[in-house]
Amino acid sequence: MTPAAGVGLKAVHFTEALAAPAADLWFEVHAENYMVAGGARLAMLEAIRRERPISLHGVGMSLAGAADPEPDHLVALKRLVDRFEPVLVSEHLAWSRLDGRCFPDLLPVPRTNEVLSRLAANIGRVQDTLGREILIENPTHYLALRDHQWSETSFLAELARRSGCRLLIDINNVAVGAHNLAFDAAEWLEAIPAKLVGEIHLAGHMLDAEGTLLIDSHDAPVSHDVWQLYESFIARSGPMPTLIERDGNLPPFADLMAERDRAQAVIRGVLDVAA
Amino acid sequence: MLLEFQREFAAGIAVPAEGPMRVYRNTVLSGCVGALRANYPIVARLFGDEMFEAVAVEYATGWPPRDPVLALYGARFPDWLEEQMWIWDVAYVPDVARIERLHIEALFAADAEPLEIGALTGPDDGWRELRLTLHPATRFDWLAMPGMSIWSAQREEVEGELDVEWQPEGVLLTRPSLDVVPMRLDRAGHRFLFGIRLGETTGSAADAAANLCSETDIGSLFTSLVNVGAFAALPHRSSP
Repeated sequence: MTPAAGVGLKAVHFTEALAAPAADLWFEVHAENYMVAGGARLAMLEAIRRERPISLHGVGMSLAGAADPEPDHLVALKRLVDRFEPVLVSEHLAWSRLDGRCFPDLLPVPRTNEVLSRLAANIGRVQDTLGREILIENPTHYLALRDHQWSETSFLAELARRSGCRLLIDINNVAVGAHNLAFDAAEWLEAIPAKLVGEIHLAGHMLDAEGTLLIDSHDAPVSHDVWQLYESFIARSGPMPTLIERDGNLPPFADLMAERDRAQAVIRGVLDVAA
Repeated sequence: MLLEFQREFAAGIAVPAEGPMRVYRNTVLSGCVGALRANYPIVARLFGDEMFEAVAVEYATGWPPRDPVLALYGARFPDWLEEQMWIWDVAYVPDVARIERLHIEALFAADAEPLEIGALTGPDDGWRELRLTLHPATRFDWLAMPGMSIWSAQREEVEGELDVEWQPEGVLLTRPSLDVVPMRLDRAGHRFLFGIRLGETTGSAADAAANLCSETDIGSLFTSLVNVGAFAALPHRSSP
């Protein structure tokens, strides 16, 4: 598909999403929300899928955990992929499962050789099961971990090389991490090989109650600095499928579409220059 | 090494923390609380936001998710509520929670065609020999408290004092199409469905229900259960 901008689909916006006239619009959903046997939620996604491309974004595979991917969860993802034929499938560089319990969060890991091998093996299993490439999203950072053996950008590039996955670069995660761990977001993005990137995420963040950490809260419009980083990245990389993510404090659908149209204009600008 | 790191990290967010660890702890807990609030909205309304959050955090600490799919998180919540000492002040809440659990299970159950009353043709008493299958979304229970009356009134946001008869109630929830349909059951209705679930013929289940509750008109009970969508459509007979 021609790279275009999409919106994270929320059930409350279903009717407007289905009726939206924008050319090349696509939607992304969290895969786990649709891992149910039946009912209206799946019927809604079927209706959207008849009109639009969709992207499945997994949050629960725990790829950076010490264990193999849970077979039942892999089967559930495969079933969704087979049914909805998504244009993109993505997951996170994170863990969320340990000793039989699940954490509804994306937990961090040190970038060691052991973690790199584990991740590459787990991503390989997922890709082999699905029979397709997946994208891996860079994490948000709150905590400065010791024991890193790799820079984050070289770790991501090596992970893509070893596993055959590509990258989903969440520019808000980069901006939030850059603030919390004091690194340069623009330099970070420049170090990511554009040819490895298959999708961009844009979202909003907020300052925590203590006023020190930025939180990747997805409950506000995309911030000015994230838009700037995005424009620079697209100018260098060329057009990329780009998603506006919003999970909390949901505005009217039209507000999300206005952000989506802004991203679409950035993509369009690069396409026009190239033409 | 990675496993030790994960265990150490999990221990770090298992207790109140500061700074970055607090962010992770809060995200994990608010994910669990949000899922419980989505799955038990009437209990959340009965408790109020602040109390529900405190109760949900305590439940999530003892019974964390075991699956990343949170659509069905909180299976033990009703029983857990009943075990709490303080629940005596609001002793009807666990049964309201049980109905919400049945509701969420019916909501996400597999889709299937319901049995239509017109499919039951044949000799007058032919229906007695049938072995029906419950619709995959059919959930029913017999509750000590009038949870169904309270649940229905809360769903319809009935204002003022609840006019509830404090006696046991049966509850049926099913989903013949996209919407979950509730139905109140008497003892006969509950016994009938119980028999069908056990694999009894329709006739045996009807006789047992009639013995238990002689005042119930079993024929109209059966019709109501079919019409609400409690049973799956009959399998297509292959041609001889």
